[in-house]
Amino acid sequence: MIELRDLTVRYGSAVAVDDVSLDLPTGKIYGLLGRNGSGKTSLLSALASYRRPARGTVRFDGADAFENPAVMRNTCFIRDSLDVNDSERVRGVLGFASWMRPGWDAGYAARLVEVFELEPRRRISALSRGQRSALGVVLGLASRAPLTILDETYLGMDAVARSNFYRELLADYLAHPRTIILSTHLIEEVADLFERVIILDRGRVLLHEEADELRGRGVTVTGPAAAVGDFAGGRPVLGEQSLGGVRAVTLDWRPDAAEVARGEAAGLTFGPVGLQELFIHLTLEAAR
Amino acid sequence: MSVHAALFRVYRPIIIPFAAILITVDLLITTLVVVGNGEIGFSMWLVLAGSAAKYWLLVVGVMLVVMQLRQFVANGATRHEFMVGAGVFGLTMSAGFAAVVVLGHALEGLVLGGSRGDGYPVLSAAGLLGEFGQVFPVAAGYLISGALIAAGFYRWGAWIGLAVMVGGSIPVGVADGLLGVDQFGAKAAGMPYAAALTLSLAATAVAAWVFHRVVSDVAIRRTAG
Repeated sequence: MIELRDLTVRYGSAVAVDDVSLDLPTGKIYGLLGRNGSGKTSLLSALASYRRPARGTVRFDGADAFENPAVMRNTCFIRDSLDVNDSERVRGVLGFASWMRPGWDAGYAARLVEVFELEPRRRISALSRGQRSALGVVLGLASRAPLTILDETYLGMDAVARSNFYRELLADYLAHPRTIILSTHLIEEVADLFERVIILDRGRVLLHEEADELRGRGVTVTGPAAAVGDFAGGRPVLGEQSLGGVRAVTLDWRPDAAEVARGEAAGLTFGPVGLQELFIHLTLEAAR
Repeated sequence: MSVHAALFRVYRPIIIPFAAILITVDLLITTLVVVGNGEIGFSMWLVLAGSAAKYWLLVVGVMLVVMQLRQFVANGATRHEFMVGAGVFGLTMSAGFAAVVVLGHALEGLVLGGSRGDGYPVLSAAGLLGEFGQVFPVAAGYLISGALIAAGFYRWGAWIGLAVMVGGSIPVGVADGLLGVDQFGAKAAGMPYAAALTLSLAATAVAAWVFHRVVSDVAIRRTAG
């Protein structure tokens, strides 16, 4: 279990993470969501001992995490900026990780280098933004660290590379279960991977729920505009779209079976709500 | 792999060409001086290798903080583990460079033979340990000064970093002022060797303690690589 208690991270007088307490059971894929400046990277930095919190603690299985060799050895934090030296070559960076990481899988790293079409002899300074991100993915996955944190690792990756990333992440997670925390803005793309979702807003935890519960929290109702209007009347609306006489409304409300039957009788269809819509609604609501 | 072992592997590709360049330049310049002058009145090896033992280690101290700290922590080492490993690496490097300076000086004297001019600092077998005892603490002082100065900038940025730089340069000033070796051999310290060594080691030890305090909980920043 990873426990965050009263965690506060400050930069001078600015509070980036404000009194956050979380219990994170291990062996799951977490999605950490939040708008720009919501404190995601600061929270992850404290979690990975990159930054000592101004207040509060991070504990792994009861042991204080900061500067704890056993915990840090088992933690791999890949930042969007990538903590490697620009003058090094890709193979040098991977070689260094193989010296230091007890769980490093060199064969898997070599395969990922091929999947992401990285040139091992190329210097880091010569890599594109997407290639740097791909190298971050290789480092994060091949380390096989029990706690792997990937902070906006997709930046600059094209659609093919991102698809490869999600596929490899899921396959390796299933083969080698561990705790993975993904911070991302591309919510819809990654949503299916999440087992639990944490939403941060202005340094505070807005929501921490099982992803399935979150998905079932709302509903999308589609049908004739008038029937949809009648059904949705008075319910909290997350978003809506209209095309001709057809209207689709996303509601932050879970109808019971009788209500679904009533709606279907009126020609309505029901679908799940997207995490991104929920995220937008919740963060906007919090801002209000 | 331990931090110090990894550091040796990281620096090995830098040290070997550096040593080769140093030896080549020394041989070239010394030969030119001897051919042109018939003799040489100072130790070119002490000029080149003696400077390398100081300034190169100063740069290594800076690089350990600016480039390697982040790299090691990102790969699972604690700051404390990094500092212990960097300490082992730094002391070994300082001792190694000091040994190379002293042995190279002795070898240079032997090779020059009759080409040694009046001012040339001839090193006797008995003097080997004495010269090592001067070069080693100076080299260690430069290394820790570089590391502390870099740590000040890394942690606090420019303004406080400048203030730390003043304190960080104390080991260099004390060690070089009291135990320094120039092209004519040991400089006059104006005090007994034991006192000079004690002061130098004390300044270096205090700087190492301050370095530990500065780095022990420093935030791992994104620095230019």
